[in-house]
This record gives sequence, structure tokens and C-alpha cells, in this order.
Amino acid sequence: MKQTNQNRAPWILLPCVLLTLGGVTLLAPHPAAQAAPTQVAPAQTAAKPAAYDDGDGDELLEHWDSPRYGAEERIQIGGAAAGFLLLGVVVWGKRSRRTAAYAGLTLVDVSDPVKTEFLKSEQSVAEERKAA
Amino acid sequence: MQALRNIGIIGRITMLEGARKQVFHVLMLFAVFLIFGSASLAKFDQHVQMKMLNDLCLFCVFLVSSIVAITITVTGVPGEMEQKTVYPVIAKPVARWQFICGKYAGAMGTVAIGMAIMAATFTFLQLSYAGHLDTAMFYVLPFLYLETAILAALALWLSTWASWPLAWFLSVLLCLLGNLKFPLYDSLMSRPQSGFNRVAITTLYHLLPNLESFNFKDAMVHHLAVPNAYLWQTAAYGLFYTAALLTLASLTFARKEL
Repeated sequence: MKQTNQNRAPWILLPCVLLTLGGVTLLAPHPAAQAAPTQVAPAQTAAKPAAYDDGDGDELLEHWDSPRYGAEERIQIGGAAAGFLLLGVVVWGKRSRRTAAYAGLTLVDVSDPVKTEFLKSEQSVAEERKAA
Repeated sequence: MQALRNIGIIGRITMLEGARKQVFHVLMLFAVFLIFGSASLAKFDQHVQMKMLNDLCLFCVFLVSSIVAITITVTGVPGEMEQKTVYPVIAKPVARWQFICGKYAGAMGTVAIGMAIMAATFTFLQLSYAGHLDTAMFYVLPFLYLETAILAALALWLSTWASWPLAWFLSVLLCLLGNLKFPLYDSLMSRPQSGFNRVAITTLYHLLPNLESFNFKDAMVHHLAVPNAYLWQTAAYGLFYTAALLTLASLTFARKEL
């Protein structure tokens, strides 16, 4: 039986509703977190350089000062460059093999008896037509 | 030269097709509404309001551009195959990699149109509220465009071997993973893992795009300086990653039986 879009709708909607409910549950504050008093570590906060603290609480997101991000970018650039080099070598190898294979061949392969016979018959038909 | 001409023709048609899609118009209306709406959300003093405005507008630009890029790219190649419009194109002297590059260029053209509309709205709001234009916008928005370029290339590669709903889902998943790459890796590696798991996690970590690198939203919002060397390196990284994904997509499409 052909399934219509209407029949499929509950199967699409159900995960959406569950995901939304799941998301709302995650957003709601945890009861344990509500009960526990907030722990403050003044010594660690004071140790941070003043330039990093812009007061928005997302100091860790400022990635341009982290050497880890730069290093990871360089690794991936190197990987991509190595991939391109490998691909270039493979393509070059294939092309040179193909060129070598076709180098000794003429347009009509006379070594193949079937092809030669076919060409001869084609030629004779053409000549007969010309004569007629 | 002929290759560039072929890519240009396919790209132009794809761009026009993408810009005429209903989903694009709806998303643009949603984005403009969201950008204007973000101005009315914050009712603090002007300094804080500008910060919130920049933050919300840039997030909106990223969100809508990513959705447009993924949706248009993911439906491009499978749509052409489904409607059988790919056959007359491939039958002409057009290489398959040229077709892929053309589709990609067209999709990125549509994203550029969308981003230009959002940037114009954002500029108008900035000029109305602050009275001047933040110059950081001139590098924050191009880097957001580069980020969507990576996402589009990823979606295009996925669409060459997967059905479009699966490719869309995987693209969104990889977008999320790419943005959370470092904290996710730290969290996984902090737990006790077997040797195989550690190797697998590290390999995936190095293969995933680092999308967080293109996010300079905080630099604009909090007026922070970003080193030029880092900007150049990130731009080169974005171009390399996009080129690698396009090559992969071309190779997959070239081997595909049509």
C-alpha cells in the first residue's frame, strides 16, 4: 500500500516533540544545583590576566589567543596539502601509463582480425556505392 | 578557460534557481524579522544594547546562512538526478568535476545574496542605533561566509553519495560537532578509553572541520583585537578545507553510475 505524507506525519512529529521536551528538560535547572549553594573560588579568578576578563563569562571561547587552535589548523592544512600531493601523483601516474599504452597504437588496429574484416567489408560496401 | 565558462554557466543557473526557491524567501524574511526583532529585545543603556544587538544579529546571520547553504547544496545534485536534468548536461562536453564546481558556485552565490540582505539590515540597524559602522564587521562577515562555504562543501560531498534527507541531517550534525570540536574531544578523552577508542576519537578529531575558528563574533561584540597572522592562517585553512571537500565530492560524483 502506498504510504501518503499524511500517514508519515506522526512519525516525523513524534521525534520533534520528544526532542523539544528533552531540550526543555535540559534547560530547566537541576534540583541539586538549586539546593547547593554556589561555590566561589576567588583565588582562581584573581589569577586570570585582566585582558581576558571582559565580564561576559565566555573567556574560554576567545580562540585566537589559544595556541591549540592555531596548531590544529596547521595540522589540517598539512593534511589537505599531503592529500592533494597524493592525488596529483596518482593522476600523473595514470596519465603517463595511458600515454605509454596508446603511444604505439595506430588509429586502426590491424592486429585484430575481427575489426580488420569489419573494416574491409565497410570499405567494399562504400566502394560499391561509389561505383553505383 | 572553457572549464571556467562551463562552471560559470552552471553556477549562474543554480544561483538563480536557488534565489527563486520559496524556502530562500521565507528564510530571508525570517532573518530580517529576527534582526529587527533583536533590536527591540534589549532595553538597557546604549552600550549594552549595542553588544546584545551585535551578538544576536551575527548569530542570526550565521544560523540563516548555514541553513540556506546546507538546504540549497543538499538538494542540488540529487534534485538534478531525480528530475533527470543532469543527463543533458553531462552528455555535453562538461566534465563531472565542472558540474560539481558549478553547482557549488551557484549555491554559494545564493548564500552571498542572502548574506548581503542580512548585512544590509544589520548595517542599517547599527547606523540607526550607534550612528557609526563597526569596522570589525568587514572581517567578521567574510569569515562567517567562509564557514558557510565549508558547510556547503561538506553538504555537497554528502549529497553525492547519500539521499538528501540523510545528507541534510549529517550536515547539521557535523556543523554542531565542528563547532563543539575542542570541548567534545576534551570531555571524551578525560574519561578512561581503550586504545582503539583513543585512536578513533583522535582521528575523527583531526578530520572534523574546526568551525569555531571562523567565529569572531566576540571580537566584534567586545572590541577585542585579533592577530593578523591568525586571520590569514584561518582564511588559508578555510580555503584548503573547502578545496579538499570539493575534490572529494568531484571524485565521488565521477565514480557514480548515472
